[in-house]
Amino acid sequence: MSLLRIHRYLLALLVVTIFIASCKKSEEDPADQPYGRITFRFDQKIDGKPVVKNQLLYTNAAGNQYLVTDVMYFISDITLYRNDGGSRMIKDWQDIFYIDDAIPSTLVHPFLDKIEPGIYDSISFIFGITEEKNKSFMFVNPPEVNMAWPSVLGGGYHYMMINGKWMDTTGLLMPFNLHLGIGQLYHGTGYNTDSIYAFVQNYFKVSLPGSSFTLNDRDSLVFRLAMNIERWFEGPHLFDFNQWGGNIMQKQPAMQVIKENGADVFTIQPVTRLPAKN
Amino acid sequence: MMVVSRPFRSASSGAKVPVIFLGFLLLFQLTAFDVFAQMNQDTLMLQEVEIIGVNKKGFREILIRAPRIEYAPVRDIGDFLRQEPNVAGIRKGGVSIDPVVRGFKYNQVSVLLNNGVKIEGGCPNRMDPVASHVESENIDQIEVIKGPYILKYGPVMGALINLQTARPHPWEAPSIHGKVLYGFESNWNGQREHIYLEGGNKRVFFNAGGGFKGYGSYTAGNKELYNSSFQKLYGSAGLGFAIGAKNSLIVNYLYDQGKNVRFPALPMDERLDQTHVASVNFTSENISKTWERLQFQTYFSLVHHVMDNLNRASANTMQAVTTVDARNVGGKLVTVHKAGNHSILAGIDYEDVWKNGEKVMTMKMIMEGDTFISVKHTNVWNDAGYRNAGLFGEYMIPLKNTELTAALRFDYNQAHSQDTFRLVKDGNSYFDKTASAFFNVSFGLGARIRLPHGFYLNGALGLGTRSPSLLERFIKLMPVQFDSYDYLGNPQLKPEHNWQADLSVDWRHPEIGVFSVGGFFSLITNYITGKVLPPSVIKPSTQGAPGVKQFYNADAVYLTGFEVTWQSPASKQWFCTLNAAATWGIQPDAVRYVVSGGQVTDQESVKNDPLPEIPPLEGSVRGGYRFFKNKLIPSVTVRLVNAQMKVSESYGEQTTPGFVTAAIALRYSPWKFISVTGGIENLFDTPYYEHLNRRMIGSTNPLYEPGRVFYVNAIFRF
Repeated sequence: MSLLRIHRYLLALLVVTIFIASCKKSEEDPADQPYGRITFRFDQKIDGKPVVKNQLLYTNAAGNQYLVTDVMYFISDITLYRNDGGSRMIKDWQDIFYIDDAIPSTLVHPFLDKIEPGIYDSISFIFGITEEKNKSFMFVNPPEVNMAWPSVLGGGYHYMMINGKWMDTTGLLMPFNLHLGIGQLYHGTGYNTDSIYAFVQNYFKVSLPGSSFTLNDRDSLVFRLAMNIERWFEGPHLFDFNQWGGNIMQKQPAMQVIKENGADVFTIQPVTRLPAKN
Repeated sequence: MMVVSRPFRSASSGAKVPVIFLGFLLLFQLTAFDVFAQMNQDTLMLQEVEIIGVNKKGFREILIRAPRIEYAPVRDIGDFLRQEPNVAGIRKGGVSIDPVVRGFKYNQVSVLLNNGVKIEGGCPNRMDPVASHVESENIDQIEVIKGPYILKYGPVMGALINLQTARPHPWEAPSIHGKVLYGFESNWNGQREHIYLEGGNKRVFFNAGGGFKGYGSYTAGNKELYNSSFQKLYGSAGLGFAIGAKNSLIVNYLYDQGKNVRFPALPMDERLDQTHVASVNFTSENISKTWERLQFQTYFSLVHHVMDNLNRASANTMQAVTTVDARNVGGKLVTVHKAGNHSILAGIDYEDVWKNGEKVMTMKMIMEGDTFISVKHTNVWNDAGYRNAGLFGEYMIPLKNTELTAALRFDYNQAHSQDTFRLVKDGNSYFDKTASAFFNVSFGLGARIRLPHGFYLNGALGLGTRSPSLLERFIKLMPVQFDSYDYLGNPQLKPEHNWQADLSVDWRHPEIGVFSVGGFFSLITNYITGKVLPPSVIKPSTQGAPGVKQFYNADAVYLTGFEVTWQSPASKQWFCTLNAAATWGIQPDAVRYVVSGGQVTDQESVKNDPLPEIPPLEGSVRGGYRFFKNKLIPSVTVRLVNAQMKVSESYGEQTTPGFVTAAIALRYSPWKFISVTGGIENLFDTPYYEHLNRRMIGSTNPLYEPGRVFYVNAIFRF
């Protein structure tokens, strides 16, 4: 075999080797890519302090004295907005999150998603569940199943249940169920389900002010989100229990008020940065 | 070679042998426990069998004949088979125990009737595994062949259980015979009543039978009552004709009904399960000098299954009723030829399986003083089915001191479904294209070599291929495995392959008995198992299900194990059987999900994870004595089961403690036409549960086995 031939073979071998090596580079293991993790912790507050349940301690902007017994709600489609214009939705494991003041495990949501490090401008989420995802029977286990919203009233699940009592104009403590979900439009003046002619999706997007953050490789950030309950009853509309009564799930105008008041109910607190973890 | 327990003529030299056996048992136990404790605390098992060994093809086989079944307090065939070495069962209630052979389970074990009749169970949770559609009182013989070696009955992957029902046969002189059976069991107040008639003459012959079983809930050794009641009603009829001297035509029909069968370890109970099985068999024998047999069989089986959660607390918030209809129609044509010592069997078979089912969920809500009811209809199968066409052959030749067998099988499997359900999310297709077709190859090779001094060396090698079941392909959100997850089928699953080798040695001695020791190794490729899907992709639809898993083809896994058997010589008045068996299964690469606060927050790789639902090492010894020419036979059975500490981390499987149970029985047969057997099962009222018993629904508490049971079986023949 001539030297020229050997040279050709070696050259071919070199080309193949380079090709294989370059292929390997492109198949980089995703586990080696930089990422960070995020956790949400939820608090329920009234007037800036943790809610004290079952005690008639609070007065809303309409002047109703009230107490709170239960706070339960869904948020979904949490989205992180990068400063370069991109965005990332939390969905690798869950995209709908249930929060229940009485169940501590629902107050902390560590997300499975591996988030690309970088500078993020803001965080938003859907309060409730979008029409596309809010389907009856999608939750069959407690506690979520207890949030079911009757099919005849639009189906799916309650976005929120805040239960409690308020003192009416006669001084009686009356129960209220501040329930938000799919609304109904009725022919006539009553709430007969046979007269429903349309449904209204009452979920809404919440953009959290002051939610910018920087995520470094292997960072684990904890955000504290607070629902400020008193804000459901004020700005832009006053919500007066004496006007709307205790039950609103079949009263779309009342739910519209709650929905429009809900945009600034949530606040976010400074980030806790946990030690880096592999 | 088969080992048969038979009455014995002489009682001489019998007295010393039980002592030797007990010594052997003790020695074996100590040695085995010591060795296997080091190998990860597995178990030693000794069991009771009627006929067990390696057949002349070199395949490990268990053969159980009707008398053994008749005298025992058998509620269910799957329960009964758990007595055999390396045969376990998945218990979910009082009945319908699903057999597991050498770690192979569900559709990895082929269960059929009368050499080819198949039944497609209706229940997605396997409340009605195939064996539960036939009552033990109808059984004439049960054949269990371990390994993928017998291919003439259809595709076999891990093991074959062939249930032979009582069929009509010609009679030399016109006659009618019959049998009446009554059985009672304390604890769960169980009653069995069965009547059977058969007769005819040389030309026309028939049989007919039927019965009822009614059992209440049992109390376990831990003094807890388990809602395990059930009712069974069944009947069968057969008519046969001898056409000339060489041909016969037999028509069979079987009906079986389960009603109000409670399953405390499942989210639902069986409200009704109705099975119809009809078959026609034509056989022509000794057609010519070389043409030994021509056989044609066709069958039709239909299952209607209804289950619900109406007796459960979960029904307070949501009621669920599932109705499934399943049908299996098929047939086969087999021809057997002989030329000298050469024997060739060839045939074709066909199977058409169809399934349709719907789940109706009803939610009642009382809100703000008003009552609202929401109803949802979903299909669990939507006009789903598959067709399987097979071509098979078997060749046997006896050489000098050696029997050789080779079997080959080709299958073409085509599946379809009218599903409108689609799950495609973020570019990932989870459930989309529903049609699939596979061409499968299976083969088996067996050899049995006769060695000097009563020794036999047996070897077998095979490949068993099975196409995915309708459940694995198309099921939609039902908790069909042990881990309580709702499962989603995968229409694009590939067939599972089992490459298996068996090696065993038998030793026969007229004064010592038959000793058999053997082991096996299986490499399973395209292993079908489940992986968790995120709730953002799909959520469970069964109350209590923590999430959804979808079937997929994992990398290779392997199973290995052994069986040791000793049976006393059949010629003695005393008898003793000693068994030990175990299986180990490993998944080299598994995934474990890290759960925090009820949510999956991470996933980890687990190396060499034990496969789930593998029974531990266990053993049994059964002994007795035949008094007064077999008129009085007392017997004792002791079963020893080690703890199962090798559990699947990826499945979150729990360990199971070991236990020892004992049973005694006394059979009295004063005349040929009557026999009464009484006994006590779980003599010491031991609180125990098998590793394969499912957990109580909604908890991690195990479903315990029944506590002490007094029973009596009376059989009257005429």
